[in-house]
Amino acid sequence: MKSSLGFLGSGVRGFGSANGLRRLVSIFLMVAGCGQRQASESELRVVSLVPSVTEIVYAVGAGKALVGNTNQCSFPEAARSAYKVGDFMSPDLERIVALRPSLVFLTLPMHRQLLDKFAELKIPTYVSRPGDIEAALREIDTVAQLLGHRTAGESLVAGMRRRLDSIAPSADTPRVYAEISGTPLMTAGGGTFINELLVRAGGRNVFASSAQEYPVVDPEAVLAADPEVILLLHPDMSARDVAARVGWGGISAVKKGRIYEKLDEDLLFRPGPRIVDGVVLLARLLHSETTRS
Amino acid sequence: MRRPSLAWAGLILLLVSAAALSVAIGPGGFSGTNLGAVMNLRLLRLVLGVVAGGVLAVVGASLQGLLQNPLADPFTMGVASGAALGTSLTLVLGRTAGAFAPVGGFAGALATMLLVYALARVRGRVTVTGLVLAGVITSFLFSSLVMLAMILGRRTLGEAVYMMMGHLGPVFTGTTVWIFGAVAVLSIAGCAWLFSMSRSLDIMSSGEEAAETLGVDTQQVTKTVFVISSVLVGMVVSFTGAISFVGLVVPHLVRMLFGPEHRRVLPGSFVAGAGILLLSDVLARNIVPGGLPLSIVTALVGVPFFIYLLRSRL
Repeated sequence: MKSSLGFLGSGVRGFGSANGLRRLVSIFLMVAGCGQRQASESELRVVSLVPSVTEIVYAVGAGKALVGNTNQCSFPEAARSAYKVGDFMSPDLERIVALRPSLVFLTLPMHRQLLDKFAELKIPTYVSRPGDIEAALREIDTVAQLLGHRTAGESLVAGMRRRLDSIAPSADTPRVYAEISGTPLMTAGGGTFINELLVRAGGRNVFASSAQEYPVVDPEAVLAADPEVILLLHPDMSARDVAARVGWGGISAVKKGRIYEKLDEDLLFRPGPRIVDGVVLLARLLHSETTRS
Repeated sequence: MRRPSLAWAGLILLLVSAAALSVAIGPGGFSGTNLGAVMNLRLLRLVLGVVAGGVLAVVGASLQGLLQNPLADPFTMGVASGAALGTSLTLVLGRTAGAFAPVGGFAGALATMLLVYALARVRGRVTVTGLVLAGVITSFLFSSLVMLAMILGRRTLGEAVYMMMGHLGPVFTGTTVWIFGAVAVLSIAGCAWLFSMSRSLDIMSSGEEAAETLGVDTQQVTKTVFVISSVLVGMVVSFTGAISFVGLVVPHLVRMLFGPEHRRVLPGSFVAGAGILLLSDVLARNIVPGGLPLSIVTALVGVPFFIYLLRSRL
C-alpha cells in the first residue's frame, strides 16, 4: 500500500505534468542517450537536490553529468566537492537556474515550490519519493535510464536484489525502539522506510502501529513496550545518556547493554544504492547476540 | 460564594482527583513488565505538575495583586518567554551548561520582568494596557529568539515547540532529577514567602498611594515580589517550558471562591493551579498519541475566560 504512494509521488515533470508522461519522457531521454551517446553525455547537465539520488547518480557511473548538488549530498566522496546549490531543505533557485540544468532531481514535500518554478521555467524535473525498498530499487533503474546508463543501473539493482535475498530470515525478532530525537523523544512509525529496513533485518518496531510517520512518544510508552534493542539515530546523545534516564534501567535493552549509538544514519534514511548495507548493518546489530554465541 | 471551608473541600477534591487520574491513566497502560518504573515516572510527573501549576498560579495571583492589574501573569507579562529564552540559551551552550538551565531560566525571567515593567512605566505610572502591551511585545520577540537560538544551536524543532508551549514530560536523568528535587523544595519555599507577604499585597492592591500612607514600603514589596516571582517562574519554565493561562485564569477563579484576601487567594491558587494543570496534562497526553504541548489545552480553556475578563471587568 505504501508502494502506491511512492509511485504517485514519483514522475517526470517539465514536458508535461502528468505522471503518465514519465515513461514517455524517460524513453525520449533514453533515445537521445542511445542515439548520440557522446553528444548527449556532454549535454546532460544534472542537478540533484536529493542526497539519495546523488548516490544513485554516482553509483551508475554518471557522476560527470552532475553539475550541482546540496550541502547534505555527502556520499560518495566525489559528491562533496561538487558545486553546492544550498541545503537540502532550502536549495537556492538562482544557483540552480544559473547552472542551466537539463534535468533536476527533487523530492516532495520539501521542494514543492521549486517544482512549480521549474515547470514555469520549462526545466525538466524528476520527483524522487520512493515509499519502500521495492520502489527504491525501481527508482535506481529509472534514474539510470534517465541518465543513459541503463545497463549499469540494471546490474546495480540485480546485485542489490541478490544481496537482499541472501539475508536469511531469522527465527527470533527482537523488539526494537529506534530513537530519532532525544528531546522530545521521537521515533519512526510503521509507514516509514526505516521501519521496512528493520523488518527486513529481522526486527520488530515497537511503534510500528503508530499512525504518524515520525511520532513524538511518551517516555512511559517506551518503558511499557520494553524494547530488547535501542537504536540511537541522532548524534547528540550517547548510549550512556540513555541508560542514565530515570526509570529506563528496567528496559531489557538497557539491562543487556543493547543500546547502539553512532550508527551511520545515511544508510538507514536514504533510499539509495546503500539500503542493502543498511539492512545488513541492522541485521548484524539485531542478531549480534546469536552470532556471538 | 463566601463559605471558605466548602470551597477548600472543593479545591482539594479537584487536586486529589486530578492526581489520581494522572497516576492512573497514561500511554504506558496499567500493566506490563516495567509497571513499577512507569509508576515512578508518573509520580515524578505528578510532582512536576503540582509544582508548576501551583507556582504559576501563585505568581499570577501575587502579580495581579501587586500591580492592581487583572491581566498580569507570568505569560502575559512575557516573563515565561524570557525564562524560556534563558533556558534555551543555557541548553544551546552545551551539556554542562544545560545543568544550569534553572539558573538561565531565572536570569531570563528577572531580566524580562524588569524590562517589561520599565517599558510599561510611562510618567511614573504603570497602566493595565501598558503592561499587557509591553508583555505581549516582549513575548513575541522572545519566542522568536527561542526559535533562533534552537535553530542556531542545531536543536530539533520539536524541542523548540515544547519550550514555547510547555509540557510535563521532560526525560529526567540521574543528575536532573536531583536538580528538580532542589527546585521543587525551593518552589514551595518561594510560594510560602509570597504567602507571608499576603498582608502587604492586600494593602498594595488598594493602590500604591494608599499603601504608602498605611506605612507599607511599596518599593521593597515590589522588588521582593518581582525577584521571588522570577526565581519561581524561571526554575519551573526550565523544566516545563512556557505554559500559558494557568497563572492568569486560576487566581480569578479562586477570588470568586474566597474573595480578594491574599492569605486565602495564594494557597487557594496553589491548590487550584496544581489541580487544573494536572487535569490539562491528563487531557494533553491521552487525547493524541505522543501527547500535545500543554498550552494547547490550557489555551482552549483559558482564552474564553480571558475574553470574559476583558469584556466584563475592564
